[in-house]
Amino acid sequence: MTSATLSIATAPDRPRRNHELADVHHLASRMMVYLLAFTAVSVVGFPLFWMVLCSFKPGGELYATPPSFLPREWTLQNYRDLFVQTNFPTYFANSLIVAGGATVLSLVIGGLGAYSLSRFKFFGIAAFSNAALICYMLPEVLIVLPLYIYVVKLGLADTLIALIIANTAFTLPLALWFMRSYFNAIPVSLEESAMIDGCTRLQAMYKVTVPLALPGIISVGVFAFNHAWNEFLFALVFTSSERNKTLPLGLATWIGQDNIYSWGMLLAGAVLVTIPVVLFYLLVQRKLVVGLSDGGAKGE
Amino acid sequence: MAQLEIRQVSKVFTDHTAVSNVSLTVNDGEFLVLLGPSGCGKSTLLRMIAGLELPTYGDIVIGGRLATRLQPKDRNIAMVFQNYALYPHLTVYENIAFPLRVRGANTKNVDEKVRWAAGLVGLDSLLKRKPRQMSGGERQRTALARSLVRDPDVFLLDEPLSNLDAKLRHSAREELRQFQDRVGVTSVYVTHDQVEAMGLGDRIVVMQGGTVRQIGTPEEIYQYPADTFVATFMGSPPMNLIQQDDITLGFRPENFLPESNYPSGSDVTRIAFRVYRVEYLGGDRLLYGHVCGGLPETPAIARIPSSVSYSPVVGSETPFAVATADLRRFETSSGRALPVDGIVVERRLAHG
Repeated sequence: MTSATLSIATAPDRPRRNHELADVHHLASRMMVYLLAFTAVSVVGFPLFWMVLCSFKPGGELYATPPSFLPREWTLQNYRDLFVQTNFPTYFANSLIVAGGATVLSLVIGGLGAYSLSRFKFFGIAAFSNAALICYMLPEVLIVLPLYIYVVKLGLADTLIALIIANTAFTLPLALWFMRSYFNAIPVSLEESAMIDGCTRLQAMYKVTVPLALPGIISVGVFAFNHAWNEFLFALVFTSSERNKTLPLGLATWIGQDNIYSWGMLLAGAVLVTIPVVLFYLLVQRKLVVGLSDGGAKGE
Repeated sequence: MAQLEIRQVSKVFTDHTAVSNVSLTVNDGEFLVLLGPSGCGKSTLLRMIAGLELPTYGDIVIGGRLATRLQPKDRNIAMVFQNYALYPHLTVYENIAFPLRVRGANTKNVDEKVRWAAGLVGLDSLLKRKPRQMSGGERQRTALARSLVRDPDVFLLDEPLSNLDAKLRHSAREELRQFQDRVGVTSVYVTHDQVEAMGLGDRIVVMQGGTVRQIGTPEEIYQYPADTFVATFMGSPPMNLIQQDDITLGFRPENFLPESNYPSGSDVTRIAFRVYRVEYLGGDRLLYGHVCGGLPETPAIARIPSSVSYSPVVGSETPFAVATADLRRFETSSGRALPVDGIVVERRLAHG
């Protein structure tokens, strides 16, 4: 009896931890996550990194074998050529207009449409939302010709407006579906409460529903902007004049224009094309993450 | 403050009738409780008063003004939702200020009112929090403050206590009633909990299947149920019903006592009772058994206070009795109450 109490009293303060298989699993999964992340960063990141480095190399060094990793001679010549020899600033402005316009249109039309799909029940609404989903599955190549006919008949050929409309048409189905699911997750009682508190339905929507659906709206915005910014086919088909070219189209026409590929200029152009997208993403990224953790309306 | 009138209101959805031909009047400053099992139409009725649903038939009159087709925002009503519907992206302060800001009140006025309303429910120190950082009780009080910050004519509550745990619900109920007494606003309260209804209501409207079964004070409804539905819905355990040809006898478990418990010579109706199980609940005991003797054998429950010294013998037939004044009679076919001496139970005291 006494020896037993003694042995307990002198036992180490903390009992030994009992290791189990789950600990190994935990460790292994951590390692896998880091490995995967490392792989992803190198595969995705290296071309970007290489692009930035090469844009600072003088023309001759680009063809050097073996290739030099860091530029032996840092130069801004490529960037100067870009602005002096080409219409890059025009392309850039056109792309901004098209991408911005398509984003705003997708958000406004998609937001209102998704809100209706989520909140109202009337004849044909389910059929409409299914049709929208099917539309999203159609590839660009398939809709480009019918859209071209519309564009020509409406007298919009070779205008930026045609591009804005086409890009919106392409983004809209996804915008509808994505935002609809966000609106569905927001309890109707919040809007009803807002309406009793003195809002009209539209006021209730933008004072309560929109702030809560912000992460979804931002995701759709990022998608729409990215798509319109990178879009090539519509731009190729709908625009012809130099003055209305967008960046992807403009850059692409330099390839094979003369027999010497101006890689240095193309790389500098590519860097400048990437910057707005990265900036835009950095701008909204914080909001996206904050919104996601904030939006949970559970129990409120 | 205003009187609320519901005139022959019905609501028909595509596949069913949620509310059928309900008329009632809520007096100025009265606390009226709509009580019924889920799916009885009580919430639909409340939503029609709020303007969130349009009645298929009938009219709603708030403070003498026809409100059937008015937008919710134009009715000057306030509503507390079951899930409180607090705006998760706003602080408590902004939540309470929301109805004022929407109506374009100036900043100084808003601040004054918000602090008044928050003080009323004891939320002064929590104004900077977001709803998700608060407990259920605090959220409920925030919802109350928000709905009262702008002096509504009618105050609607849709099961506001059902998300609270049992202990909190009790104190919240008491607070709510004290609060209503202080503010004195006309209130309509929806619940499926009969204890809440009894404890809170000036009058109770018992609903079932979209129709009003009875309207009356808690006492009237408990003592003189208008039909067998109300009789069994109110009270826990429910009223014992014994079907005897075209008359159904009803008596409350607490009125069903051993015969020896009544002074000799008092006016009682004897009913033999065979107990098969006893449940001890502290304050009283529940005796489960069958009514037998001259009556058809029917399951019944007796509730005997612990202060009554009586040791039930399981399995044997014991003489029990009900004071004749506590015995209710119902018509078996329709379930309606038959008139009790001196008191006529109206099926609808609609325009009380």
